[in-house]
Amino acid sequence: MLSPRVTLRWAALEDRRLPATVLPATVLAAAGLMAGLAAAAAHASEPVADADAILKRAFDNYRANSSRSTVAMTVHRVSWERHLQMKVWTRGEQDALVRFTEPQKDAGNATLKLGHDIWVFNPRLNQVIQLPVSMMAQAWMGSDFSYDDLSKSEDVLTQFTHRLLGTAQEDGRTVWSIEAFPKPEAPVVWGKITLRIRDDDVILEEGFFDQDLKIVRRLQTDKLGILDGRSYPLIMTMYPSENPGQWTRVETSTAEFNVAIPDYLFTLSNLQNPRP
Amino acid sequence: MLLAALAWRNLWRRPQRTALSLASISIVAALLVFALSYQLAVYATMQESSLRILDGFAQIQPPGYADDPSIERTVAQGRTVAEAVTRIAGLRAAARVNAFAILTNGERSYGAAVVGVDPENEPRISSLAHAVRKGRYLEPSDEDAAVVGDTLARNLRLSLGARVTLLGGARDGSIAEDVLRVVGIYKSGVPELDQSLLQMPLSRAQETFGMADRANTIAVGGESLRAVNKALPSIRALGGRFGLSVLDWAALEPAMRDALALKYAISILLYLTMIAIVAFIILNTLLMSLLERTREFGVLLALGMRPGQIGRMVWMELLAMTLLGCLMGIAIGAGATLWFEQRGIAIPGLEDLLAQFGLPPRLYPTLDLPSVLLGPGTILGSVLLGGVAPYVRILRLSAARAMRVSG
Amino acid sequence: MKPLALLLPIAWRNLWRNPRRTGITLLVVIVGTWSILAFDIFLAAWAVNSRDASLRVLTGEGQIHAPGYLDDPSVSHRLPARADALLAALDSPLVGAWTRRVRVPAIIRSEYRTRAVTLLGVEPAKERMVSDLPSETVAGRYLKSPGDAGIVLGRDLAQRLKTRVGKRVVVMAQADDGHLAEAGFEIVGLFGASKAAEDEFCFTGLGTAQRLLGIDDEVSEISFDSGKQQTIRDVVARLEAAVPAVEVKSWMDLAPLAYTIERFSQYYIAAWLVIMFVLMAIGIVNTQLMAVFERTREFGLLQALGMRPRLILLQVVLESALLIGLGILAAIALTVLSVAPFHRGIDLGALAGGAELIGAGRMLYPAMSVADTVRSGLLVWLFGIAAALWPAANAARANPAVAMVEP
Repeated sequence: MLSPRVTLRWAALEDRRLPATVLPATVLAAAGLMAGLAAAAAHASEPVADADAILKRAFDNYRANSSRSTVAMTVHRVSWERHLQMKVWTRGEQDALVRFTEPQKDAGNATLKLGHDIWVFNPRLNQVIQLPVSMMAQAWMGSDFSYDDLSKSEDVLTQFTHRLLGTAQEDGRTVWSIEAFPKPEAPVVWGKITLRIRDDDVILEEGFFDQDLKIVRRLQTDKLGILDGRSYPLIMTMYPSENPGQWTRVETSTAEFNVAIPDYLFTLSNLQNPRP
Repeated sequence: MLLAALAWRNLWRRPQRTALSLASISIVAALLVFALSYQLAVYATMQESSLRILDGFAQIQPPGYADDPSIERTVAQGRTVAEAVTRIAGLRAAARVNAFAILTNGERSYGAAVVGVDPENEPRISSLAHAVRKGRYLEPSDEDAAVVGDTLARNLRLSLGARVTLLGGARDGSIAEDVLRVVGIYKSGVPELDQSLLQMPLSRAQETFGMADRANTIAVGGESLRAVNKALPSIRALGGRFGLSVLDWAALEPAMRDALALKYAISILLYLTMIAIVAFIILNTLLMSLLERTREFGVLLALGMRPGQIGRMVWMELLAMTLLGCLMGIAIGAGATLWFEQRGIAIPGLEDLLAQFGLPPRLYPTLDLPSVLLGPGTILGSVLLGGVAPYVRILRLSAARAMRVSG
Repeated sequence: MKPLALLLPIAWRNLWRNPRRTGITLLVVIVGTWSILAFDIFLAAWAVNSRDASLRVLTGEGQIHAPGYLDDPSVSHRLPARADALLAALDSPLVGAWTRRVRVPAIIRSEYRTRAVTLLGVEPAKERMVSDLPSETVAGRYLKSPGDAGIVLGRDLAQRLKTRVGKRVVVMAQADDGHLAEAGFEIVGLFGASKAAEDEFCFTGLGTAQRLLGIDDEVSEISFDSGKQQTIRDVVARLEAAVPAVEVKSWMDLAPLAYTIERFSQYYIAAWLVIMFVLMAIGIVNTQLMAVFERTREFGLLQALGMRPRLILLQVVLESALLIGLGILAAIALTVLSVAPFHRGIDLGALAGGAELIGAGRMLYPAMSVADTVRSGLLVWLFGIAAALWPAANAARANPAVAMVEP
């Protein structure tokens, strides 16, 4: 006879967003990438030393020990486009707080990341909720990144070995190409990651490859500028290779680095009741 | 048709014998009629009960939804489409929003499926709406009400009247949040549904998840699964007009389709074996009687009847008897089926278990042409086919030798 | 018993005076009895198949959990490592095969997709004894040991994740201390089962899973089969008494639908056997009636010679008893012959036309038990003789004067 097993057809348990180990826009992951590559640099041999040094500088430039920035994120799909504005604070490589300021509907929502764990805050519900495992596959604020992407961004990156592929000249500046491969036991899905970094320590481009070394997504710096005295990728866009009509763009409009950010900012209570 | 008349009279020369053979044929025929009606009915009941819990007998979905059930895939003007379906005779339809959210009560949170349902139409399609054990189901006047499965309620420590918060992703990617009041707790018997499903009013879900007047799926129900299957062409035509996909029950539950296929295959094997055996027994009896009538045939041959004619006569006896037996069997089987169709069959000891799954405690066989004709038809066919052997045998009789056979 | 001693050899010889007649009835008995025995074996095997199809997908005959696990199957509800009472009970004759598992919800990620799954940390060798999942490795290999750090995924899941054997995936789950633990796994094999099972379950070594979750030697559940000669209800009751701190459930509670079906099957099988018997009985009666009819003169002669009707009855009954008994013995031999070639099991895959069947659900294992066969044989014999009483009574009623005149 028959089993009354019923399959629930609910949305989005199947994630159709691509996992990213890097969230360049929100500073979280890119900083981690830098950190990871920098860490790996310590164990590198002669040809790699250059790459390590390059990356370490790029990291230091991009992330610093702490930062405070204003970011705009555009999520583009074939049939619609969304614009979000947020304020981001980071501490070290692991911790970050994001508060959304626009649009009206999403204003006040916040995400707090401490290490691997993520909490979300919703002002209308006035609740802080720790993300359960089952939600990790869900999209973060409707973007191409899942919560899971946010949480594991940096750790993965401490698991790469890398080498310098070559040096080129563009617009009077030196650009280095670097290739990074995950270490054997690493909890990383990528087959390899490639980067192009300019001599003023800005990442121009990043490519993420699957384990067959086919490109899965590309992160491109569209505009550079000076922020708080540093050369900085002002506009970065992520292009998934699977869905050509889809991309996510992040624009950093203001940023301050190595500022003193009070620790209370990275607590649950502050998540719910931000102190002015 | 002298032969036919002879054949008929021959049958009744030995009433006892004929009666017994008739009995065995009619028993098997009646059995097959009843068993097929019963089995088809039982499978249909179990299928229907299972589908009725949440899936519905068919669904109208946005194209591609089956492979990628994301909230972004929608049916424009969900309610309107549902209404259009109800205008097809005998069908009912309910629009639904399907989403995923974190449900929180105090410190505890769980991820769950959130389904926005139309309180007026959903109970006409889904038996889940009638599985509420505490409190009540959603009503058309509800705004922020919710019903949850009993396991979910237990895990979240939700009691009637408690508030549960909901945080998920809306259609346009923004945050969907809401606070609902639990008005009912249900128990479906299906662990996934009891552990991870919350239902809320459709309008509210459309608001919370930024759906405007859209829906994700339209569940279709009706009097019976068969009725809905018959109406599928009309439903597909309607789907086509709106640019939507229509999924029948097999597409919704392929595992069920496979399981049924297997059970039917095995049942058919059983029935065929039974028919083979009864045919064998009948033919054996026939053989015996032919042996007994050897002298009689000898006399007929001597009187000028040709072996072919004798053979045909015997074959007609077989035909008449089997046909009569089948007709009797059909009458008995159909009668029994109709009788039980009214009253239902209750199998002792299984009622409570069936009730647990929302299955009706009594099973109702239904009579229809295939179930009536299939079994008896096969009996007739196999017996007549098997009767060729004795026919051949008779052809080889010679008068003189035949008449010398003693009783 | 002098009449018996006298009549028995006569009865036996009578049977063979007309081998053709005897042969025909014998055939009816053999075919009829064979069908009863074979149906019994086949249907019983089918019932076990249906049951196993549900049970041997991880369930086992019984499961042990920490209280609260069934409602909330997370890492926080675990069985303690050093549970001496529990281990002693499991190693006792109460329990047959048993295996430990870690079973928690997790997230699996490939380069392209992220999905929610259930992670299972198993002891491969012991797991195989209790569960058929994953039995069919369609690519790569199964796990080698509890320390195996590889992962085995369902074929369909690998497709959805756009990955394959040899590639790496990352699994994330909530560890004991609340944080989200993750690790990279190399896919060492893919298993085939129902789509739902393929999409849900991921297997790795028990030790690997324990390390990931930071839970020493603790597990989520223990799955077990009852020991030989034990009934599962009994085992569950005694296990609960021995180790009150855990929750022990039998498959009847864990898979109530399978249980319903099994109970239903018993009625079903009994009904079939009765029907087959009735058919056979009718066949016997018919052929014996004809046989008796042919021998009317003989019986009349015997009566004229002084044999009392009662003895004639006895003689005919003896003949029937011998005939039926012989037929039953032959049928038993035939059953053995027909079941033996399938002792490795019958693959149902062909029947259902490619339906997805897992492990035990795929194979039918017909098993012949000496006790059951002897009992069935005896029953058929006794009831067969009862059926033959009618023709025997006919024989005894022969009027010597009339009988001897009959041609």
